[in-house]
Amino acid sequence: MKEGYKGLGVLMDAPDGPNAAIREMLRKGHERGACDAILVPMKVPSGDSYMHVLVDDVEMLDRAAPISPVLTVQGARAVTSLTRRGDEGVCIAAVMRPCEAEAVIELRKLFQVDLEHITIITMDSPGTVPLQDFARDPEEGERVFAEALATWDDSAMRPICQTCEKSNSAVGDLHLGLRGVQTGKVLLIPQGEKGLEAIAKLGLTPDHPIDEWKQASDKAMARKRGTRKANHEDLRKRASGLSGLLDLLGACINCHNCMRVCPICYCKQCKFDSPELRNTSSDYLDRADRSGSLRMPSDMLLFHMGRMSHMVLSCVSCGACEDACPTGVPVAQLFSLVAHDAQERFEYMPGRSSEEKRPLVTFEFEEFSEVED
Amino acid sequence: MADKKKKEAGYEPKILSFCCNWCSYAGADLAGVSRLQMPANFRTIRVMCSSRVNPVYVFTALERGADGVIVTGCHPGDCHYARGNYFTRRRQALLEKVLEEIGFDRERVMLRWISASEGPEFASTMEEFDATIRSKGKNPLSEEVFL
Amino acid sequence: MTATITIDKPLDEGVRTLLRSMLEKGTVRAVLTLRRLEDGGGVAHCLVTDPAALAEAVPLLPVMPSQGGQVLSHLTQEEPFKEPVAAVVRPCEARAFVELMKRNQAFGDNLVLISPECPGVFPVQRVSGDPMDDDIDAYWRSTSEGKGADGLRPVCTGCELFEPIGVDMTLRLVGRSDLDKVLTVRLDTQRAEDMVKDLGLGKAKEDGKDPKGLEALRSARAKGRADLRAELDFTGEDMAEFSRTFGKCISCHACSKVCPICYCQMCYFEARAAAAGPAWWRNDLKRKGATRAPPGTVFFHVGRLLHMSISCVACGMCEDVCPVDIPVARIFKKVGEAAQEVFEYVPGRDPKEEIPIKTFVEDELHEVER
Repeated sequence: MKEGYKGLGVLMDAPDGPNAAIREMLRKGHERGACDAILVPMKVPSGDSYMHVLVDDVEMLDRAAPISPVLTVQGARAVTSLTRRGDEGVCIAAVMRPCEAEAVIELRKLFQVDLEHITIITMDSPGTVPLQDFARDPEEGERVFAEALATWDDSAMRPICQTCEKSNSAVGDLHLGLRGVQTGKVLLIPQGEKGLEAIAKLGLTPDHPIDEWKQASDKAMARKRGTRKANHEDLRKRASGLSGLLDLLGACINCHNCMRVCPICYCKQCKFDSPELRNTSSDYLDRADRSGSLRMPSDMLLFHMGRMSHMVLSCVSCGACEDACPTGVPVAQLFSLVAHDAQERFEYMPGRSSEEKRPLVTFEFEEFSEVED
Repeated sequence: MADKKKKEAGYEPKILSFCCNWCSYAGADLAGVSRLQMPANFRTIRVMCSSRVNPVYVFTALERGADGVIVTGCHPGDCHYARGNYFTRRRQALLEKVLEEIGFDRERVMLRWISASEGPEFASTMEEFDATIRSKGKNPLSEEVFL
Repeated sequence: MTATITIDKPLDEGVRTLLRSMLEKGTVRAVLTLRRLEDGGGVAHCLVTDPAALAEAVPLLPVMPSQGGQVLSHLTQEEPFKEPVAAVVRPCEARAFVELMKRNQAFGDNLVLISPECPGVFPVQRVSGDPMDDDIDAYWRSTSEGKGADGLRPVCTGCELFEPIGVDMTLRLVGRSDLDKVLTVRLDTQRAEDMVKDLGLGKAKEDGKDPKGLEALRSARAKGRADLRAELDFTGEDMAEFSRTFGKCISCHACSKVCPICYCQMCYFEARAAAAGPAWWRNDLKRKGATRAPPGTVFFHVGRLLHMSISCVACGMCEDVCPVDIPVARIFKKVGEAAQEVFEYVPGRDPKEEIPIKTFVEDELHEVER
């Protein structure tokens, strides 16, 4: 956790549930000049999904759903789309889940967002409903999510959420503690200068110890860690060896949608999607000759492994890839497995701090002697 | 539809006109120097040929809040580049059909041929288009948040 | 007169026999067909050069893991095949390929197109997991009776162009009572007749009368098309309904990625969105009080309609891959057909026909000159 965090938060009233309390806080923050605009998930007019909307007119906040039941557009993509080319000094309060905020911080390191005027607000996340299930039956999705939010039982949430140890991480400048906080209340936890500044502008004083929230969080995260380990062990077995991997990716149809929705894959032209990998007809025939048959479009495995090698150190396991896969490949779980192992080797946690350097753009003189032959 | 709470009173339509360099722009110029009465609410983008106007540009303007878009070019047969405006006509037909199918009022876009000597025609076209758009009111897309 | 041959093996087995003999006799250098993969139970288009590898081929499996026209374009984008290659593709895939040739994205030289009378396909989700055996039996039963099977993609149920156009061989399937015993192949070109002559698959006969079931499916599809059109009518709505329909779009752009016509390496609308700076959304905030991020979702779809609908072959890939179940293909089919009708254009009908916006007639379309 960042400097400025003193183990104290603000216990806010939330008689109508956390969503209403957050809306009220945002409205107040906007009125008092803590921000010029608010980026927050909002129900779409057809009522069957949620999208990030940048709001200036606070009347519209009534429709905001800060803790939305689905991850549609990854919040980091929304932030990038607004500030990649600067923000002209507009102060934005961006409400998102911890994994989205982590991706924002990774993108900051990749020079894709400007965080100077952005205040990130995160909250304890109960997980999200699988996107495709939600699209098929939004009402049921809403119901399942409301239950998860009330009970913190994540068994109906996405598999990737069930194994997420960071779903309570206080990543944002302001974090909203929900788990283990008494009913009808929300714990607002400021972090760093920006967080304290925002709290001051809201006219609040952090005076409530966060220990209770912290204990409940740690306990829940420990349980998720257990699930993750079991899950990863199982997946490791399934994905081992070339045939295991091909088995897992068997249903891939090369739509590359996983890459398109990935917040970390910000490249406008993906190398593994580029004409560089195209061959002449004679080359394709030669390749087909080698094993008698060539899968088309070719280089499915190269795409996934290549993408993995490019982005996995920054993978925040947000699960957007799996949500968007039309054929149900467990791509997020696979990437999360590799991400966990790879990040552990570098003692790196994507999104932990925007000051931290990405492992591959830095080094120490004495390290990794085991890879030197 | 989005929150319609902006005042409807005092509504001034925003109209965008694409004018081809060789005919219509000169026609507009002539209308100007002849001091003909025209509505003052249109902005002009000069293009070398009306066929330079991709239908996507027209829709861009509409999505960005223009209330009407008019494309003007040389009369068929008079194109400075011999055949450009015939392509324009096909593009316009495509654009209008797509707009109709997605439920957007196709009368908010218009194609008209105006030559360099037709200053009065330019002025009257603008009057006419302005009146049409005025009668229709604000472009509904201009206030839709979820675009 | 058109000749047909009869292969005494049914469906996939029949097509495999045909492909195998072409490959073994050296009539073709390779074949492109759907094939079950050794690993993972997936299905993909495969370029097969070894006849033994045809054992896993499932040329008629009713699912479209990728658009065959797009695959053929990848194969021939740089240079045409120098020796004959056979490809089993569905009629919409063949039509997409023709549109790609017109756009200089593919070469048709030496390509022998074999296409079935297409009874439609199941959603792409079916490529993974269960092998759909029961459904496939029912599928072929319906086909032999000239009825549409249950569980097909909606866009297929409204497809009137299920009979191949401009291919070398047509696999005659619809309405044939002998579907479970023999495969009837119509040889549509001289090249096809010449090729088949040496394969030892029996003598070519004159094509018989169309079975009743074929006529039945034609009318069923005409009705299906009318139903789809009525269901997605956006006219006179101030675009509200259209915008609502695409409201839940997550901007993944999978629809354009799998679209065979959208061949652009860099989509104009993605480039534009990437280039949109703060001036863009600040203007929106001023005007509407709020703006969606990323911006331009509906614009993307309208833009794509303006760019490619004139060539839309209604293959349905876009809808198949949409993670949030937007009826993209049905909408694009409807708008596309309306636009195509203006120019009396049928995409993929004839490689020599110009794309309408690349040509003109002097005396036409006076209704848009206002």
